[in-house]
Amino acid sequence: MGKLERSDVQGLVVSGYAAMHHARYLLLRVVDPVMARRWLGRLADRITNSEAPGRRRCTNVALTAAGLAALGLDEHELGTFAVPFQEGMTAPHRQRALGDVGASDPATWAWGGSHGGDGRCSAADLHVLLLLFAPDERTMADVEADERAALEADGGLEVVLSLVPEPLPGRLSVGKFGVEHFGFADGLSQPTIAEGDDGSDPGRGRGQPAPIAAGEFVLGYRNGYGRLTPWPELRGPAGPRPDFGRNGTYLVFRQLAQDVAGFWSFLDQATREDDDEPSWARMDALAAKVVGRWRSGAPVVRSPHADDPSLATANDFGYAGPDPHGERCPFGAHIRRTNPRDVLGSAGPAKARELSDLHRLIRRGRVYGPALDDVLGGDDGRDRGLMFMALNANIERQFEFVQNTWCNNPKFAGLYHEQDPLLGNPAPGQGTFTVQDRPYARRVRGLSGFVTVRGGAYLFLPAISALRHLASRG
Amino acid sequence: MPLRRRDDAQSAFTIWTPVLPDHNDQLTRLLDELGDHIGTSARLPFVQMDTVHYASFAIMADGAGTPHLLFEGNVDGPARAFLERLVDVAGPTIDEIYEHCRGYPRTSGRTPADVVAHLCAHDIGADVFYVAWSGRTVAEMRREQDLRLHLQALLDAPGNQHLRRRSPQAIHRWLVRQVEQDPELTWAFVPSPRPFRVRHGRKLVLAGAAVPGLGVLGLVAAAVLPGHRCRTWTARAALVALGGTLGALVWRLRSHERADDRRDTARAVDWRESYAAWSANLGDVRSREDVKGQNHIASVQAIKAGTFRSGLLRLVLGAVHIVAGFIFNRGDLGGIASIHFARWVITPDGRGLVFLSNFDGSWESYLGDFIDLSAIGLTGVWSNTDNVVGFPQTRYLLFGGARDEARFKAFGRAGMVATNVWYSAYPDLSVANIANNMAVRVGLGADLDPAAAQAWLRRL
Repeated sequence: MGKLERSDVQGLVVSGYAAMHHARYLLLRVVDPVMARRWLGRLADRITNSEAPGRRRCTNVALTAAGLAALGLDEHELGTFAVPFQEGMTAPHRQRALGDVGASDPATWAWGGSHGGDGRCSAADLHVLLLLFAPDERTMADVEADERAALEADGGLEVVLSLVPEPLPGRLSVGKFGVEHFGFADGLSQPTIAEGDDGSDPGRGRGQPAPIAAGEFVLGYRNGYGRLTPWPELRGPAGPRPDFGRNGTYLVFRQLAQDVAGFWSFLDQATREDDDEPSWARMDALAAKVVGRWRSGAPVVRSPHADDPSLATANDFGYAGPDPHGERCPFGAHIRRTNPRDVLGSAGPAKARELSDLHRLIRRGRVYGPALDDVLGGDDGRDRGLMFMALNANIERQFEFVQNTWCNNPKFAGLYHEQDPLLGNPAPGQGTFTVQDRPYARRVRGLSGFVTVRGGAYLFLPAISALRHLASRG
Repeated sequence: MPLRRRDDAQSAFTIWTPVLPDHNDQLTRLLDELGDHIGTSARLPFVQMDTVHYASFAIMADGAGTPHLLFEGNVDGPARAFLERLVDVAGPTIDEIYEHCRGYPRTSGRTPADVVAHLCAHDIGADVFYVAWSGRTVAEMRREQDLRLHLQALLDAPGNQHLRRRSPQAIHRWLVRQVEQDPELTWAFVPSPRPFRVRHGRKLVLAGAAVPGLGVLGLVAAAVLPGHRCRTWTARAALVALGGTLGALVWRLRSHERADDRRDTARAVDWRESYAAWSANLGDVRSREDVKGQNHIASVQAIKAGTFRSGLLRLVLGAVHIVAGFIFNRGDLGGIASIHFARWVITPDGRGLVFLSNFDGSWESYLGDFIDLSAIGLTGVWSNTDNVVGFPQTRYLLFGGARDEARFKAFGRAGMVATNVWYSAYPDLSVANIANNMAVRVGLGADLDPAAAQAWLRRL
């Protein structure tokens, strides 16, 4: 249980590979389990671990429940995986809890749903997710060609879908941080993993929040309750492997399409005044209230009146002291919902932080699709958004909880009838967002669902040793 | 409108009746059908009865495995009055349901009074009854919601934007005038009486705890202070007896817990596997969850065998009942602010512990609250019970237990049954919303200083 075994943990856990400006996500289907296992065994030697991630090329791999079944795990063995992973993101009750309804209904997804685009990318067809990263375009092309050649050579799998995120740094990047399509710096608040035996983390940066127990993000280590989250065990006739799940974790993957024109058109309409002219200053101010950070990333709780790029990476803030009434950062703002920090229910600040920390995610998303240049000029019909990836040891308590109890919950923080203003799915033009203010709150109306789910899957990101074990079975 | 005394405003009834052999499936179908249309149903018109907060029907087995129909009600005023009204407006449906249960009065010559008497005779009540807002009626909650929406609409009206430039006190006064001019809203200024147990509950519990506390203190004083030798020695003997009894009880408890731990370690099948096998039953439960913002739990756990465990459980339930009713009667139960109505009740055969809860948000967040905020209370109750998963290992009745997150959640799930019919009178109001609406109404009728006026306006 001691220190994180970095050589066995896939690199994605500790790094978003920011130096790897290019990425390819290949979704594969197992055609021949014997050949596929052989491929997996060879792949294991190329997998980037957590020791020194981010050299010339990086390769990681994750598997769906259907993929593990296709590779030969029996029902009993699959039954030892976490229930949400077994059931999948599209099980009706999970779909409801995640708010994947209406335009985000899995029946309409391009991949991972019940039908899946052209009929080849349904949940049952998606078995393996191969994640490839490279620092430049040429290396990326080489890496992809090499991996496709390896797939052909072993012949056990076919590529059913290739997803291509936009190269980093994005056109609008701020420093080393990416900017998502709505125009905001993204990925600022990442939990730090407490790796040491004593839970301390020597690498903790100044001004960064306290590290989170390693077991929240990697199976086999103590979690936020000081316990071991149950992990998958293989005990089947193919050879017992009780620590199969150790050093692995669960990967939540969702393709989130963003309606950039719709978002800015809403901001424009909501901030028109008597002159009936668009005002960028007013739009930016409302957008900052919606997100909880200005475009640079500066938290509105720290800089309530204007953007302050010197605070762009600030992450050592809370709400209890400066903003108990939401008058700086609204209660319903995106970042206050997704991480309420030190204000939660009737708990005091220290307890609230302890409770918030039980629901953290490591995010590894990348933007896809071209930027929309004229955000007030209407939609250009191009697909754009975020390839959202989150790592967590307990999908129900972490990803699903954040999505259900914090983002989608109309009753969050004592509110009545509104969802996360960015991620919610109100009927077009029917959403409300309350901006706490003096002498009384402003209710901004006219929100639509600006984010639509286009595909998704729950995957298992195994330890490198577990990949070798899988390859050696049968 | 005359205001009646409401010191015992809400009641809980739990009507527990055995289902006739081979009638289980028919009854389930009937209940599912009623449940699917509960928001509009004329056959079971809870929605037209403004005295019921929550009601549910579910089928669960007693200790011998016999299926029983459980009818849960959380109502304003006495249970009997509600049941009389229910039989009056939905007699045929009640007949249709209970004709699948043993002992229901025969059709010929059956009067509504017979039906009510039958239902009341099978009411096993609640051993612990928790109400978020003791004394608040359905009608009041609905009216206060309308009032808040009305005030917000006034503030948001395009023609009233000049208000933003005025002081909080001036805005408050302006709103008060608007309400005063509306004859429909005069009720808003009539203070709503707070029940006795809300006003004095904490003091009463303190006083109740002081009696034995002072007794022990007195004994200690008599034992150590100089005095008559006979008195001193009697006091010392009493203290030794008291300490010995307590010690013996704790020792017995620990030996029970250690025996449970030994059995657990020797389990033939690991709890994870037992749970995985059992969870095939979960489909019916999950398919009903997260449809609205509120959820329901109906579960039954087996009370561990022996008089020690059942006695201890009754003692704990008694203590929790007092704490829930007299201390936590203002919107949160030990920090958990998402429960509207909840209860524990022991089945008549003494072998099952039923838990029913009507709460805001998801099951996952509710169980998380249990673990994070009230693990001690939940462990104190449920460590005396068992199911296919088994309660997590517990020390000294209160420690360990629920803090074992994964196993505690599996234990909680493994006792659950599907709630076939579930009615909520205000599915769009959270416990916090109800509190806020109440404070808006109270503040409207109050004379507010600038700070209080600003605090009040934040609620709108």
